[in-house]
Amino acid sequence: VREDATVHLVDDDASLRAALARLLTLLGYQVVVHEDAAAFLAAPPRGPGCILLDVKMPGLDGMALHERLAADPESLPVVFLSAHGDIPMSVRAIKRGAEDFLAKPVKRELLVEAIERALARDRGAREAAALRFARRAKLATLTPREAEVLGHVVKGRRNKQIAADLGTTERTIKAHRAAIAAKLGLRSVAEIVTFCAGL
Amino acid sequence: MTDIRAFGAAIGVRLGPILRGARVEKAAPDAAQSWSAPVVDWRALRRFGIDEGRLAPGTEVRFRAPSAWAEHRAAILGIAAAFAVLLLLIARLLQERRRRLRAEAESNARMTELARANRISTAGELAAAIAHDLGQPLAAIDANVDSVALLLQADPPRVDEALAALADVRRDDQRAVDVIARLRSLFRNAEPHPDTLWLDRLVGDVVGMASGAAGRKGVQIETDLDPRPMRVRADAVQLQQVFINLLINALDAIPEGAAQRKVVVSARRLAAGGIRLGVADSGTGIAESERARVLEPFYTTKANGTGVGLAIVRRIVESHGAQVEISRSRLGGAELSFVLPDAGAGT
Repeated sequence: VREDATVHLVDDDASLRAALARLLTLLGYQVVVHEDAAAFLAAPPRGPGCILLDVKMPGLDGMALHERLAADPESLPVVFLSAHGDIPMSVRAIKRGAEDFLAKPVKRELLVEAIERALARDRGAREAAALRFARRAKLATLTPREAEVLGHVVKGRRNKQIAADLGTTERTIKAHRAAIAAKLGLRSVAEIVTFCAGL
Repeated sequence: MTDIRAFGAAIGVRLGPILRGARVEKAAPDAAQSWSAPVVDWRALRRFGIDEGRLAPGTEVRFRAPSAWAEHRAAILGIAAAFAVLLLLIARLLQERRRRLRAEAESNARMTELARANRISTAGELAAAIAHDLGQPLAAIDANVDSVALLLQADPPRVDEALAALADVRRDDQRAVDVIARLRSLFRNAEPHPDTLWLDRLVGDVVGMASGAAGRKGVQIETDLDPRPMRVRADAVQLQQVFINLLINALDAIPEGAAQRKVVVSARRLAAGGIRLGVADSGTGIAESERARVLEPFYTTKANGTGVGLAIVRRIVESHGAQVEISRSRLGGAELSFVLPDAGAGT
């Protein structure tokens, strides 16, 4: 079930790192440990997964690392683990898009729940990205003229109006629309509009 | 006598020929000149508005009114000297005032620093350090215990791995124990270095330090000292810390808008021997049931208190071989007091 997702654990405390890695491995997760922010940034993960991030670390701390990661839309969801987090800190982390902010020591159920939510979010983001990618690929098969007609169609314009604007006949527009629907695998105008809205 | 006679004789010798009709050839040249020089009256010059520069050279001006400088020289010098003295005095006073303001600011800073040292650094930073240093091993122990359970529940049980996890649990447990040992040594390290201290002066110092805070709260701090100077053997810095903490608490105990706003620091010889030191306030007092707990570490009744101040007071007082007593003060609030041995008034 989780074979493709990796939990990245960033914590400077070797013994806690080992303990969490052991537990998460036993729970069926793939775990990669990083001993500090610099080590994590040196080899940023590309595959699906999430990040368990300690707040207090020498060098770049967890908050600073998260700030950097948050700037990258494709970065993995972050779950903070903190031994001395306070409310302002957690609010800042959540506002910046952290999945959760947990206090150490954390109960196993809470940790697993947070990891699952983070992985689900990553999965959702990846699916949405894949869908967007597939739709863009389909759109790329349209001719320039068909793309122009599509632009008018999604604005809700009628064939007659489009024909007048493009200086051609209603029949030609109809033919273009049929070609667009065939290429994108869509039938109704509603479907076409929905298809284009997510891009 | 002889001189006058000789002088008379000389004059006689000179006058004799003249009186006998001898001709005098010519007068002494200098005398002739002085008669010929014009002489004018200065007052007349002034009256007719004649410029002195237009007078013939060598004109003698007589009856000149003495100048203000010549006439009032002594007075002018006196006034100038008085001005100089006044200026010096003003400068001195200004300097004094600046120095006092600076000293006041310094004592305020010291007071805040002391209070901060107690409240924030001791408690806040300590709490953060404890949270982190204990949190890490506890979190690791937690995770390892969960792992051990999973390893033993496996079929077949993975005993070797479970034992490895248990070894890690023991190691982290030792880490937590070390943290606690460090913490205890931190609290224990304050061995007093006793000196013979003049109490009157120490009380004056701490009241001075607290006066800024008292002024801001509109509270009056009074002292009630034995008329004869008192000495005790105590660690000066620690005793000062005790008073500062007690004063801060006393000031905090007086509610906003209370009519009576008074704190009394007292030091009195007891008939039974020893010197009783106390800080009393007109605040809300401490309920009988609370008295045992207020001296405990991390117990606080203040919204943003840390519960460290009175715990420090107790530790210091006890390290001086005394006990902190809590009672109702005559001002209506609480009084915290302790008795130190009298070190005599000295020689």
